[in-house]
Amino acid sequence: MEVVYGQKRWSFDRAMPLEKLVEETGLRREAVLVMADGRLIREGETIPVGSKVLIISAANGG
Amino acid sequence: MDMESEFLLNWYERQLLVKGIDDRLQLKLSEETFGRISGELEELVAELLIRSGLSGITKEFPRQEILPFYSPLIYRQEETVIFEDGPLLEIVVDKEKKRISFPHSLPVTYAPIIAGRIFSWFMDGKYEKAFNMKLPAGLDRIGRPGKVMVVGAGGLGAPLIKLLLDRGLKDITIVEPGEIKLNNLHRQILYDYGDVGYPKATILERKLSRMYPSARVKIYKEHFAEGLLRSEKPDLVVSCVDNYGTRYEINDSSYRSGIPYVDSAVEGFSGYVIFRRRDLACYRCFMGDDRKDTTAPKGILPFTSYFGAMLQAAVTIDFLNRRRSIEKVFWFDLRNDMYEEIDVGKRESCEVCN
Repeated sequence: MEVVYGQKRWSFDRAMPLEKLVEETGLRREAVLVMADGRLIREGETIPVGSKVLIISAANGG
Repeated sequence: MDMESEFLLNWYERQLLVKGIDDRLQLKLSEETFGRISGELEELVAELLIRSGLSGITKEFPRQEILPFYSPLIYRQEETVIFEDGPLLEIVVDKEKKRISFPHSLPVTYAPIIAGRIFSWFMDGKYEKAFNMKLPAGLDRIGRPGKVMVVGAGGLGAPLIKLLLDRGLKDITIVEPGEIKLNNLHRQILYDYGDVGYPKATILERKLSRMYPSARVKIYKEHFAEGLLRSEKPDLVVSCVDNYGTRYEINDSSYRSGIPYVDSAVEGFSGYVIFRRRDLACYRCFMGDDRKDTTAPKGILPFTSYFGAMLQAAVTIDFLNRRRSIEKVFWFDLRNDMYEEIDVGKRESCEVCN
């Protein structure tokens, strides 16, 4: 799967639970949201191997 | 550091928290100057860049009314930034001058995108040239009466309130308990230097009654509570707050009351806009139930919060005029030129919407 977070990029050749992906990228779970192929991924879900993954900040500023 | 530089850095304190922006860049930006420019798109791009720190103008600059809002502005003789029409965004440095072209046929909603790309170029020389993104709605005039409650009158709320009233909204309720701080001013476009220390509600009451005498503007200097929805009965709520806690409250109250709402949140160069109503997944299904607020200030740029406000205004107007609404989350990143629609389904375990 191809993973994008801002200007950072990762590539993984296996399916992965959301929690594992966040751990592998070194990001903090409480600060981000994860999308795969345009859909929000929730805790406990596994992201399929060929997915295009976008990680975004869980923004709360106004 | 001289006093002028120190004042400038205090003013831009919040954008100096954004990764890649430091004192050196901020002081370099302050050397840029705008002169004669024309048209709504050029003027808004220039204003957003001025608010981001490109703070020189000549006597020919047409938006002199920005002056009372903007103390870091410096009068200079010669412009250094020149805008031109062109099919793509192009930035050419010609001696001391930056010649910047972009398509003048673009709607004004693209102004924050253009400003964000130009700002990115000042950061590292890179920028995207083409404009292929599709925005969720356009900024029309408001053609049908409606009552809107805006919660929060800061970086999102201040431009949103102005955009809605400029486009013909006649009935608005504003909920804002806070006071104006110096580091608010670069992005909170309804306040100026002389307002620092005063309650936002007091300043808004005075200014909005003068600027929009035919509109009914009601302002609550208090925190949001569900009772306000019951007493005011708005057609729509727009959440412009700066924390998870109040967003949860607005979400839960709006679902219970059956009142649709629009929310946006921004950080650095990125943010999102969502429209929620009872049959759609709620904010908790999008963000989760367990986000915790911290007291740490967040980095934010004026064109990012303006873009979030503009998208909220566009979605609000679309709802008022046509009862139409976006169902997906629209997310943007102005630094990396990314725009995505995100599907969010209802969570089976959600106690609010399911």
